[in-house]
Amino acid sequence: MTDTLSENSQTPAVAVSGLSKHFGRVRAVDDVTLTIPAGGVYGLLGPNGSGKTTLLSMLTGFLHPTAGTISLLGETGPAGQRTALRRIGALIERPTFWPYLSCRDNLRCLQGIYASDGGETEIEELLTTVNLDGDAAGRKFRACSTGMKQRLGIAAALLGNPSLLILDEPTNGLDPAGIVEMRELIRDLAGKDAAGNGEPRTIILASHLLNEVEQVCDRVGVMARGKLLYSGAVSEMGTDASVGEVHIRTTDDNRAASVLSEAGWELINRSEDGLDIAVAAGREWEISRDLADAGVYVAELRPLVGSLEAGFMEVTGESEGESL
Amino acid sequence: MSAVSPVLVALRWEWFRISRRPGFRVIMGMVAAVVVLILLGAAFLQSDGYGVGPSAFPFIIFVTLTLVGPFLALFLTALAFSGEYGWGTLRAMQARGMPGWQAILSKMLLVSVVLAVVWIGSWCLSAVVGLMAGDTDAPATTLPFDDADASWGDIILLYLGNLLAAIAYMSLTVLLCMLGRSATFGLAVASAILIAESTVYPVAVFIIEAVYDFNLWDYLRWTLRGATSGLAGRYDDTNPWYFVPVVVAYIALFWSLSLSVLSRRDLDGGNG
Repeated sequence: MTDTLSENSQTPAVAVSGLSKHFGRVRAVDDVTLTIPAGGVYGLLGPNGSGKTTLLSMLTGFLHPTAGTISLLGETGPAGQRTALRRIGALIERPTFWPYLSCRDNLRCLQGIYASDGGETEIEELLTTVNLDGDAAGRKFRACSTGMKQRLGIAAALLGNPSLLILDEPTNGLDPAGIVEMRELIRDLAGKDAAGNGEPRTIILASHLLNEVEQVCDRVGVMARGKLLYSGAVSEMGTDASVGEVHIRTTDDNRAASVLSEAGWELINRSEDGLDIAVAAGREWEISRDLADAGVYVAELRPLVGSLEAGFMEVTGESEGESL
Repeated sequence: MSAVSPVLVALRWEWFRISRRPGFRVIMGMVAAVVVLILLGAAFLQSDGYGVGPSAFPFIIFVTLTLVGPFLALFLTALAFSGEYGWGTLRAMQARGMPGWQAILSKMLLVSVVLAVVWIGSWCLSAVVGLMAGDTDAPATTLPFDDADASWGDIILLYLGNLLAAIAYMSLTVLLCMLGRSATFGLAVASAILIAESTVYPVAVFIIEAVYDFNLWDYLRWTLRGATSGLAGRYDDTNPWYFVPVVVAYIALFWSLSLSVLSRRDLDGGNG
């Protein structure tokens, strides 16, 4: 049976309830309940083997859930999931293409299978978007570099201008310039509506790279050992919302330590190289101010542990405690 | 119609990609070369006065297709299904919501159509070459035996049966590919079955006939090999037409089992 939720802006892009996937005795995904609102970039964060890919593979129909329900773009049930998948583009784990076809022919073939009516214009636009135009478009897939394959995977996922884009570690194998380029592309795609229906485009970005999620995503879900440990705004992750660490070197580290302690700052570590201080995101400048007021000047101030990293460690640390 | 249309669309794009596959081009090139060489050889003998007998040309093609047809079906099927769980069309289709049965049906139809084209094309070519070489009976008479009463129905059955046998082995290969999640596995097991049928059956028949004095073929007639042989007229006491529904039933069984396996099978192994 297909149930369609009311068509309004509140319809979540993804809503899963009690979702589990077991491979024998291994619980790859364990009772995950998650709602991803429409619009923006949602990061799915977790270490390798945490269940991210398995969860996304169930959303795209590659894996059958052991238990639980999936609602995609307001469509539920197996038939509803298939209907919704026509408006979803996905790059799961690795780009999957025919190695003996060129990049352009691969896109043509997929466009035909997906019954996308964009024609050659869409193909060329997508190739340009992912920087695979020119000679690269005619290169056989098997002769492409890892970065080219990843970019072609993005282009294929964008065929038909989907409302929901699922990207599983899209920066894998890219060089630093390619990673920056990919992040900019994802932000750019997130800012555009899916064409034709006025729907905001939602992007789900699975990654094990904290800084990637921090830079690109609005909201984040943290997974470990198949469980969803946190889901919400990036800035609110962890109980000590957005607490991180900075490392400072000053003109007088001994005096700086006592000044900061008196001012209420938490000194995490002290060494010959300087001081590590716990600090809430956005309040780093206050350290510099307090020291300057006491006549101590900052020679270096750099983030040591980002707020997301601190939150991630806290969230996953709780999980480890529970499992022991 | 709504379910048929995606299958036809997928069929078109299956052709788009398989026709660009080097392996497919090599196999079809080899088939064409074999057919042409056999026909040219026969034509040379005919025109040189040796004579290969009336209706020899379609007969030669018939024998050739009987021998290589099932293997051709196996290889084409393996080409259509290889890499399906890695980078193939199944994954691409299911990623956008196409049911597995539509995806797999398009592949089966494609291989069936290619086989049909090979059969029909070979017969037409043999008729043309036969006519050019002076075998005036070539277009009309195709039976590999002297049968003055042979009708067009018999002729059609002979070739249809040959084609159906190839499609049956193609369907078996698809099932094995689905079960093993591997075109290599499907091709290997199906080839082993085909070779075993071709070698073990005749030996077993010979031994049993010598020892127990009865014809084992009578007991094997409803097996896949027996039914496909029955289409070719092996059993004098049974009209070959009776074997058509039997072979079609085998094809339907293999197809339905394949679709059933696919609908319950994950396309990913899960990787974190």
